[in-house]
Amino acid sequence: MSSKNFAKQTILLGLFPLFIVLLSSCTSLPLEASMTSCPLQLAYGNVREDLGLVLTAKIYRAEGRIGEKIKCDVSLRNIKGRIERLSFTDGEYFVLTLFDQNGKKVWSTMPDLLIGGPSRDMVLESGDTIERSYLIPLEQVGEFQLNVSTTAKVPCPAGSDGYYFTGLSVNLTIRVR
Amino acid sequence: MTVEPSSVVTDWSTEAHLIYSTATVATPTTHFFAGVYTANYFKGVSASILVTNPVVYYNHWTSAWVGCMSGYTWLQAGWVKEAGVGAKPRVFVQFRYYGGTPETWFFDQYPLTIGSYYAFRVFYTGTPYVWRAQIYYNGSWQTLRDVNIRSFLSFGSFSSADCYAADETVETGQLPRGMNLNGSIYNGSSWNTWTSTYSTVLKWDQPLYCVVRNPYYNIEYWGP
Repeated sequence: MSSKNFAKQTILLGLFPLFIVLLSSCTSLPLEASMTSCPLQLAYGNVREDLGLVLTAKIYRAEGRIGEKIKCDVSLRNIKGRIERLSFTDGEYFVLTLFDQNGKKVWSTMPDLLIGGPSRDMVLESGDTIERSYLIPLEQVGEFQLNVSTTAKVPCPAGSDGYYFTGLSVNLTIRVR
Repeated sequence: MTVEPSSVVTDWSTEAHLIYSTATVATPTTHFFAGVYTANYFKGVSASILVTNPVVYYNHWTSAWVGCMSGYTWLQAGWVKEAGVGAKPRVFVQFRYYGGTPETWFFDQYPLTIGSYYAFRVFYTGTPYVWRAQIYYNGSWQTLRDVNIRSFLSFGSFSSADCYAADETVETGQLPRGMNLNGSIYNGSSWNTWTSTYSTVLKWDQPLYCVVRNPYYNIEYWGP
């Protein structure tokens, strides 16, 4: 082995443990979890470029035990001022729903069969953000998909009284031990 | 395309490549509403409603109803169909005080025939704090539920409300298309035909759509 290759291998071997440590600290997960499975996402964002609306969701932990609660911060931001008037369903800006691996709903912030009425208008000016925090109860063992969505609708183009749903939604995975 | 940043992106305005994407799971996220409501407060509403049998998907529902709302507090009555094998439209009443858990009652003692019209009404009884939901069945008005809102202190002055008549669905379910709003509005002493003389708001969420066909607010609906 040439001295040049030896130096290269030494550098790579030296960097590998550092990489593992960095990976572990970045995901806030146990080292074993990072090495044996896909890292869990702690935050997602989704944007409607045409509307200038951004939905983000951030969980502080992606794993927990039964009985614990995981905090989730959700925000909707108007980044471009393309639209100001929004309409939300029955005062619920966001809906958080936990699905099991079979797609069955196991928990939601939206009550079942909440019929209510039409969505209500509000103004979200350019640069403004709506923020809410939620506590997600962990009640079953397994892997779950947390769907975070906004009920925001926006008015149809001028001359029409209709509204359409933005469809902004993000998904995060939560594991319960 | 779903973008999956590994941390919170703080400067979204630079993320020009991000585009809209839909969820991959059934999300009972929002209601799709089509209907009319008064722009001023009244003390009751009545309408005849056609019962249909729309397709309803898992976690979803579809409904046609009349109701009165003040802010996010409401009392409504009509029919609703939920998902499930053998599910059928059922008479219901729902009451919710803002921020509270909705209370829903079903009345299977009043079976509904698909293709028939049934009249529902919701109104203030005149007894302080008491609102009433009724169905016209077997030739007379039957009381489904009285709701006494006295315990909701901040809501104690609620003796009139916006009045609604609507078809509604969640997500991908079908609109009932069942409203035949030759409706009436109650002013506290008499019921009067809901015509264009009353300031009225017409609202719908795409892909639903509705229009008023005549001065009597006989409205026509479209939907998937």
